[in-house]
Amino acid sequence: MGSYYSLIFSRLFPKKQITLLMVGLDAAGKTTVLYKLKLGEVVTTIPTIGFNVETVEYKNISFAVWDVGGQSKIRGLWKYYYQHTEGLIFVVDSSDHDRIETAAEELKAMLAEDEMRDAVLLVLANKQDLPKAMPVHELTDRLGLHTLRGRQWFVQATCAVQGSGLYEGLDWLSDQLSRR
Amino acid sequence: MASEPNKTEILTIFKRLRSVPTNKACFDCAAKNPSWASISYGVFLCIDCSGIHRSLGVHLSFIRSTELDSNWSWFQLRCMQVGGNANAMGFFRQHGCTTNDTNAKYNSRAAQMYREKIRQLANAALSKYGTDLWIDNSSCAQPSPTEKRETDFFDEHTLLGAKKGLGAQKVSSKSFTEVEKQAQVAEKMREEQATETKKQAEDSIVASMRLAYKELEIDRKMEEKKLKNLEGKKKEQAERLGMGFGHRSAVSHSVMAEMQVIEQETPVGVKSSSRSKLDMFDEPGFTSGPPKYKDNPFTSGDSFGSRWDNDGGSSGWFVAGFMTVDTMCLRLPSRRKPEVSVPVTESSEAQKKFANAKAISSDMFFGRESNPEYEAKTRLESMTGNTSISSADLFGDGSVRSSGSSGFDNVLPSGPDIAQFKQGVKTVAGKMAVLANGVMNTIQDRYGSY
Repeated sequence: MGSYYSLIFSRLFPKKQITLLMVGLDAAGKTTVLYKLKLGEVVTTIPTIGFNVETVEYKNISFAVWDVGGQSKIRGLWKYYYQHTEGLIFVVDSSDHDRIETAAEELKAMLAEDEMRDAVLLVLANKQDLPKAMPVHELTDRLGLHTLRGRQWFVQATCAVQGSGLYEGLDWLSDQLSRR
Repeated sequence: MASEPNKTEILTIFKRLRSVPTNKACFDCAAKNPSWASISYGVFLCIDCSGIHRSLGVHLSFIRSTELDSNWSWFQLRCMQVGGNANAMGFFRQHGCTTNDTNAKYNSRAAQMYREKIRQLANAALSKYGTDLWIDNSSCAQPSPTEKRETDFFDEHTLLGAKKGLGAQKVSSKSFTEVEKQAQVAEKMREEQATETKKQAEDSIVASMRLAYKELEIDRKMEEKKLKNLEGKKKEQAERLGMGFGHRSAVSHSVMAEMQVIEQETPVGVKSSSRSKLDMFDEPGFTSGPPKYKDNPFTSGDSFGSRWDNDGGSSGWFVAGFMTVDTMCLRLPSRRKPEVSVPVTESSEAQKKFANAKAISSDMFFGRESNPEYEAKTRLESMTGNTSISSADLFGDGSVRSSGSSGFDNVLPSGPDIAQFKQGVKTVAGKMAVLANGVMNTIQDRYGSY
């Protein structure tokens, strides 16, 4: 009987489905973020060749998170995941000073795509636990977000292995996307 | 850097580097044919170990794929060229770092020193060779620490020696096109030789015998000269590996082969005769004596091996020369400074505004949000901004400038106001000028019309 009511309830108030695409340079921590959200634990990852996809339930919203490999040769595949993407999670290795410009270029190129026109942008400034990690204000600068008008974006400092900041990021995403 | 290596250059370099026997096993776990690389140490890793390395952070190990990453820079390629699994292994062993725990291994002092060393060597190679492929030296940089560590030298060469049986494998270490080219040249020579033999068909077989002997004599002299250049231990090694003329017992056999070729053109004979001809005409360093070619048609790889060894002496010396510089520990702090100062100089309004923020959103940044919570947060952050800038400068040397300016702000709070005031006056003046201009124009128009 209870299950019957819950079925009716879920029919009446269906769970909102949100498709998220998670990209970023290689070794930024995308897979770690994904499985920290999904399993709540830190998994030992190997470089993603291809993609991982998981659904994460949070705040009565079902996030379908696509985690796509970030090696330079397979970045060309990102564009095949753009369609139906409502939110873009761009993961940055905050301790990688040398490649932040590369990350900025990739981000800029991606946001210029027509299919990403309406997507909101969540930047995860990952690996904040490492020495010399760039703080969010610096990342905002170096990713060129301060010139990015006409799009909703949010930069969140995270540490995927500790799990800090991840749900704050999801909070913002759900907040933005449920407003639509 | 002016230009980056193109795809084929990257491919060529890795083809060569990954064919080095010691690079054919993962540096950490000895898995076969690793295709991932840690640039920080110039070593090759399997995908599993690369995952562990990535979790260490880029300050300890920077991982790239030799197959899935297309945009290698020259510096990164140089790191791989001056590095190599053998060198790294030797260095770690020498510095007493034998642990298998990845975390401990790469957080160790030895690892830090080796990172610095690779960086220095790569920079030196970069400035020395520019954008040359620099393949020959790279491959012979492998047995570099000959002077420093006898054991390693031994390991290296026994490895090479052990591989000798599988001569076919070795051929792949040389680019195939080159081998093919040589074969073509040899073919041509053989044809010439064949026509010549037809002409001299009447000549007695004894004469050709004598000719063959003469060739061998010259060959042997070259060998001797070459071996004289190898000193002490190396010579011993070379002899043991059958590179020298210690294996002269096969000479008569080779002479027989020589004669066979001239008379009946069997493929094996063809190869052998052309090879010996090649040895005669060019590349004295290329040869390792005709007898071995007779034994195994694929032994051309051996000759490459021996040539690397010859060069290895000189390049090993070059690498060791850089090692003596060894000022890496002294250099560390001074090198760090510019890295930190860069972001400081690049700081702009965001830096001051959100210096303490854990998260920044577009609304906060552009201040379009009506949400009072956000506004309050922003205000709070802009208030705390000044003090946190100086604390952020704690690990940088740019602190003098920015902390000075913030201090100035505190003492003279009217400072920015004056600037703003000036700005305001300027804009007002500009507007007035435009206005006056417009008024004048309309007056002139009216008077003109009247």
